[in-house]
Amino acid sequence: MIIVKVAWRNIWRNKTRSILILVSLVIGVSFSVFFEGMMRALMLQRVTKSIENDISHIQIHNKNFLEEDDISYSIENINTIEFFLENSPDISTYSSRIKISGIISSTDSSSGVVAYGIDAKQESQLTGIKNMLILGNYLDNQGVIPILVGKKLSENLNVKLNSRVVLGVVKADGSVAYGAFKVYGIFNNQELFDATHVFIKQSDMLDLLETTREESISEIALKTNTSYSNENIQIIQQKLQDELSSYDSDIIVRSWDVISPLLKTNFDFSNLMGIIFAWVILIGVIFGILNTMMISVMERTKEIGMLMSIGMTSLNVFKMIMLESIFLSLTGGLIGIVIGWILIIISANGINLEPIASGMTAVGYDYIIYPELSFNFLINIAFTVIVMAILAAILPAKRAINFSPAEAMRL
Amino acid sequence: MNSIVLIAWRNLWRNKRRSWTTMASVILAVILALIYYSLKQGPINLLIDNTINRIGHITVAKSGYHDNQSINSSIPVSKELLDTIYTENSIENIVTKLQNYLLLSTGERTKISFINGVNPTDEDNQTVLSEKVICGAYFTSESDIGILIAEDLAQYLRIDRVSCEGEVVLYGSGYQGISVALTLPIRGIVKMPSPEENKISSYITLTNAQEIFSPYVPNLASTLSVYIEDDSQIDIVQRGIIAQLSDQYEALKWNQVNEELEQQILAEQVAYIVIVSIIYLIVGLGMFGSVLMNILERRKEIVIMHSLGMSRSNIFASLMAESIFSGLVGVSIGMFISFIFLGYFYLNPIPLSDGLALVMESYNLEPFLFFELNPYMFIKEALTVFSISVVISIYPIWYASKFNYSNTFH
Amino acid sequence: MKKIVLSYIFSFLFISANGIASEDITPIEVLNRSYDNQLGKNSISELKMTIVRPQWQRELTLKSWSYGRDYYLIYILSPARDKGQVFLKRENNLWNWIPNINRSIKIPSSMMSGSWMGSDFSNNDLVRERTYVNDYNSKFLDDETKQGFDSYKIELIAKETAPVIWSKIEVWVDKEHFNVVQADFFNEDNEVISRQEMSDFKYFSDSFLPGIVTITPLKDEGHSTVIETINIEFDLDDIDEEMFSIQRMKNIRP
Repeated sequence: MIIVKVAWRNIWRNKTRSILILVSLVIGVSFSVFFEGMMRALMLQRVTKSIENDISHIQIHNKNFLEEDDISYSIENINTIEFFLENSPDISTYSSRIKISGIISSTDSSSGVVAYGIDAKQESQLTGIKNMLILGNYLDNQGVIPILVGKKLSENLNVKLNSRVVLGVVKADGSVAYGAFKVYGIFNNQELFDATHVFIKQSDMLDLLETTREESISEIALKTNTSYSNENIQIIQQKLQDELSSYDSDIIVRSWDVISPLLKTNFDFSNLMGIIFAWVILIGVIFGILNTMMISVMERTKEIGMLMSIGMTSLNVFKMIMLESIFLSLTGGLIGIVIGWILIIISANGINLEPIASGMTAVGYDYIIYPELSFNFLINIAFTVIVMAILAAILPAKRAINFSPAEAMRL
Repeated sequence: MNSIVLIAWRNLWRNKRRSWTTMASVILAVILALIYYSLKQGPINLLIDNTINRIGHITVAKSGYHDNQSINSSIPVSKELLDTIYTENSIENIVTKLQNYLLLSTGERTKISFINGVNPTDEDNQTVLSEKVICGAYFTSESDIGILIAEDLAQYLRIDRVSCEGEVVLYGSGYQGISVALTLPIRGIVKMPSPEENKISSYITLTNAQEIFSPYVPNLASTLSVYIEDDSQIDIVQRGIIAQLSDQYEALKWNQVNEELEQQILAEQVAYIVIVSIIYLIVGLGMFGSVLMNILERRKEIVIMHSLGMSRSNIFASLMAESIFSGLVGVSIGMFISFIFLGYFYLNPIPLSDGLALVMESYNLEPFLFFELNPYMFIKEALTVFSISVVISIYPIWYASKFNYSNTFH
Repeated sequence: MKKIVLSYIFSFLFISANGIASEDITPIEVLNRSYDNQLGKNSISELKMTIVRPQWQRELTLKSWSYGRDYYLIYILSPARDKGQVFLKRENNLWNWIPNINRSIKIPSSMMSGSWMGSDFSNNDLVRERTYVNDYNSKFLDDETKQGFDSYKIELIAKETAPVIWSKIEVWVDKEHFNVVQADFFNEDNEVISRQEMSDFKYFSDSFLPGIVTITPLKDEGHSTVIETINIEFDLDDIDEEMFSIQRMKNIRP
């Protein structure tokens, strides 16, 4: 116990040196915490956006539909399947859609699109389409035949709110059915999504296709009761695949990481990035500690020699130097973590990157980043700091016990 | 003056251990900054090279082609046009391409394809297309008739990927709305690195494309990719081309064609500056600590030198010289270690595993972690770290030159 | 009763027919008269289509057979390169027979919005049948004289649910012959986006019809498509529904 006290006091004997090393530790750790929070937020916002607004946790299709998005490959026994989903404790919400390829035309131009016939209420509970509207209203209005188009598509077609557009969709027999729609809302998600997706009411889609709901639902997207990053997603997916196959033998249930492996990689990559970044900085910091401890030990050659000659064991000297290094690192690390944390709290309202990266939204990122704290990362970094401190202290500590008292005194 | 330099040099090696600890910070700063730069710049350069290989340093096309890539926005390429461009300095090569969207049909299935009419030799030099052929054979000459189809597209069309024999129908419209409908023998299947391209691309020879898409207007091209010898001349060449050609044409640099990449480069540059600044700050503080400790330790020695008649400015100069030496030695060693380390990985890029490989492929890149190595990065980092090491010692040394007898030996 | 076949081929063109003007006719009746009258049994015609672009122009000659509203065939006579190509419209589908590769291709929905033979119509314009009478609400505006013809001016406002892109069409119909003289197509900002003008009116056999129809997309300067009727005959005995099949399309000769 006395060694602990001695070590702590030793740190503060040379204040200049200790404060210098503390400052570099604090800067290193706090920036690591802050930037990790920012980078991860940047990546996660992109992943979350895609999952919340586009992919959802899990999707269900007829497996033939995936290769050839033909309306005739619809999901069989849809009512039974929906009944099952409704009563499943794992599933929070779902949306059954008619997904179909089509052509949208305005007076100025035409464009190929993927048209979704959605149940307005179901869909608004599942995806963020309602919140992505930048102009106009959601599909809940009666009276007109509304369509929601993306910002990019509205520019390509040169249409605005209340513009008339004609949507042609490919029916099961390969012919095209046309319907007139009013642009009722314009949404802004991500350029590619915006240019290729349109949403209409399911009832309007059924009228257009002259078919029934039972034979035309081609996609069910759903959200589970866990977070998308949770590994239970795979368990739920497997369970659904097993259960639902009895209603439709061609059914295929896929989780988001299977639907978009690229997104999954982005997600993994975001975690890795922060770690690499933190390591680079920590190496710099720990080297500082090693340096400081080395100088400190050498400076105190006489003193250490004296301690050993009056009976302090090598082990205790070793322990003392180790403890000094650990105390130094812990103090700096803790202050750094707290400051990093505070930085994240201060910037929780969002950091606007628009001036430096105006093209980010086009590739699916947000302008505004909302850094968030990862407790996992904090624990990781604290642990790393301690391990590094121990590693950094080994060399100076070994050096210290290698002094022979006689040699030390002679100097 | 010489004696001061000599004293400083000797001082540096008098207490080796102390000097090494100071220099170690410098060495570490150089190594960290260089490795980080190399790791950041490697993939970016790969992206840039990749883009330039595909579209040239400068792309000349009909005005507006970049915004609306229609076959009707093509240009007939005359010898005069090429000669006009060739009058600019530094031009290495001009590669002509003719591209068009057409339907490909095997009877069983039909799908839209982006058909590239390319010069087989030029295309292979720029994008190594021949190595992407996974069945069948690459073109041997401009006069070859046949189509190379991207892997996923071929699979959709139910083309046998072992024999890859048979023929496909090309259907759609060509230049000035003429109808295009003909059968071409399948020459092979190519595996495109980007999943998007793998679903849509196909290749025929430029001569063949010109005959098919534009039988009445000869030598038609969608784009002229201009390759230059000296990258730094790109702005001058672009201005020159624009000045020489009428406003019917556009001449865009690679980063104007691929704005997304330009954005990404910018974003990574910002991240790099932030991270490297933090590295410098942390290592700089470490260096400051070492120098300060070093000075404080030698307090007695400094005071004795002063009392032996060395002027304060000479003491300052001698200590500064010492710091400069230590910076120089540190930077040199740092550069040497980095050079060996980066040199090794430059020659032996690290292969990436599944997930990261996928990301790289989506950007149309080889799945390797490439390191950048160039003399400028060494010079830049060396100068920066050296300056930091010198600037940082000014205060402790100035402080030391003020030491006096009374408060040292009391 | 005389019909013109143009309306079958480029179905968004206005229909016209000779008839007797009555004093208290409604706009619907004016349009119906043109419209109803064109539903004859069949026709054969020969047309020349010129595609005009700022830098170039191109000429095609076509021969066309029609049967009712849902069936027609177009045979390309020239240019030599495209000679022998046949387009078949059956109800909502469009096929193309290409003799040099000995294949027929059903135009997929993804290509429907593409231009037909490089002209200012899309494949869609060929296939889609427009029922102006059903899709628009109509009223008379003040009579005007167009190209020397005393004409009704009819304003058509698209019905809310009609699958048509135009918000409004203004059409001038010659009071004497019931020929459409001009039609302007508007977007919702009340700008004319496309214009059809008929000219060179003359007698084909005993029908007084426009010899030339010009379609101009007003947003693209220097673009237009001109269709000239060289020859037209109605109600022939040897044209029946069976002629309009994928099998027969391959063997048709001008």
